[in-house]
Amino acid sequence: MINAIFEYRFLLHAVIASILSGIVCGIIGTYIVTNRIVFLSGGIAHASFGGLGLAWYLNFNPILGAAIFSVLTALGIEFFTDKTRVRNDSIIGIWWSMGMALGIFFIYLSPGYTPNLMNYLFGSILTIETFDLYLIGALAIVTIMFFTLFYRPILFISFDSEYVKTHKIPVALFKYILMSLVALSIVFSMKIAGIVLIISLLTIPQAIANQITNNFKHIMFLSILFAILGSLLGLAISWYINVPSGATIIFSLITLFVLVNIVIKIIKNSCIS
Amino acid sequence: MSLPLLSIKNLTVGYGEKPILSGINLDVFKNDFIGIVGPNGGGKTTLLKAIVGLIKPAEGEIFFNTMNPVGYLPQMNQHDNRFPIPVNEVVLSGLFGEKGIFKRFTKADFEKAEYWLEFAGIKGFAKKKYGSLSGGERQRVLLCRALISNPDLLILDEPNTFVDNKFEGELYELLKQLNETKAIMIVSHDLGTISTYVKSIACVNRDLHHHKSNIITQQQLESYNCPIQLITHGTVPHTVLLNHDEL
Repeated sequence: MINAIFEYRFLLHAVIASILSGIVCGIIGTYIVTNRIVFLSGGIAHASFGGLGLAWYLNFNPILGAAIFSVLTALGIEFFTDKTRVRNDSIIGIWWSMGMALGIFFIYLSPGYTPNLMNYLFGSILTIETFDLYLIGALAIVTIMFFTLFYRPILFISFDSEYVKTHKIPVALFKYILMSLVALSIVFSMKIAGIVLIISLLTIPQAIANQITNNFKHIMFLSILFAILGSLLGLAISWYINVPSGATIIFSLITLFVLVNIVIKIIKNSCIS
Repeated sequence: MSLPLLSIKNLTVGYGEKPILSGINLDVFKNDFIGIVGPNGGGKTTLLKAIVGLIKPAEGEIFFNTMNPVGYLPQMNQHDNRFPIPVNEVVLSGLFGEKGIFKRFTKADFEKAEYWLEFAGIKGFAKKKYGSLSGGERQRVLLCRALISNPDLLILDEPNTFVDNKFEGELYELLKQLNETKAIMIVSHDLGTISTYVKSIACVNRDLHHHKSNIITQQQLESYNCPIQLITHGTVPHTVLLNHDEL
């Protein structure tokens, strides 16, 4: 496979994309898991399908369409949760299903060739272009900078946002920016894991890391490591047995999760005896 | 008498015919120790939230005559037990107001956190995970968070819920000590115990009556439109009575 990476350009793209989205998903996923907004993130991922369909219909880059739509979804959910009395998870359910419905609606209305939906829903390593790498690369840089510069505000807002508000810190602005980053990290990683399966890259690496450490920063670093490891392993399997990469990445991550748990058990037992 | 630390003038919170609080006037001076009592839903927490800026007043004004106004211990909310944050970081978040979002914490800030942890009787807890602590230990941590900015006014919203009797006694002793340099406002459902520590009592039920003594009778409470029962001893639960206009 190592030779193939340099022989086939798309494979090189897939490897670079896995590393970049591993960085993004490791960081953003830690925010998602500690703030318990996994369901919200699932909603954003599925709603982005609406933007994808609309962009396809209007003959526009589907990833950019999905990006705009998912950011609006994220901000919309955050806004409506603040301003209306409808339950937060009901709002998420509405956006979730509406986005999927819009997506399939516009794709079927589009004249001519319809895209291979499987690629977007379950991930496809063959379709990653240079432009996708620029997008995820730019997002990685922005995410690293934002979390380095504002590590403590993010930590404190995640822990107790109401208390932070008493210090005249712009909590709402931080939340909107973080939700936008969540939306973009989902959309720009879409081609690797797929809309339906992307949530795995945002939760399983963090779950593994949380077995090892209880420190927010360490969870972020370890999550990046496990996300990259799981993606590359999944890519390799996807390449050899020709199955959508989303599925193979999840199996790799879950295998890692089980292995890490076994190792921890063994270490604990040997410490006791 | 000197200028009050905090001055509330004609404060109304909430809109419509039945605001949560209306026409509140209160001056808090240095070394005041005010116990805030009143029925559930009478607006005690709302008053504190208005003072710390979490709720915008519909009418009226809140002035501070100090550079370093408020340390706030909110009502025990259900923090996520599994949130990965150590005790000293929770305490340091109390310095957020003066630090802002860009400045980093210094060694001196961490030492301040250690100082207050020792003061609150939980020395050596700095690196422990906040979620692994007991209810009383968490309240001590949150008290340190309120104190680390060395405020002139300490505002505590039912700090004695979810804690054992031993801590409750210790807490009041700590507050007594702090009161030598700070004004304190404390909401409590247990009037019997706090009345021996506080210097005055504020009855809050839509409006506010500041009773400038720590001795209060049932008749006085009733004349203040404050239908709560005086509980002298023990752990009798908070008695809720209807407001007069609902009877």
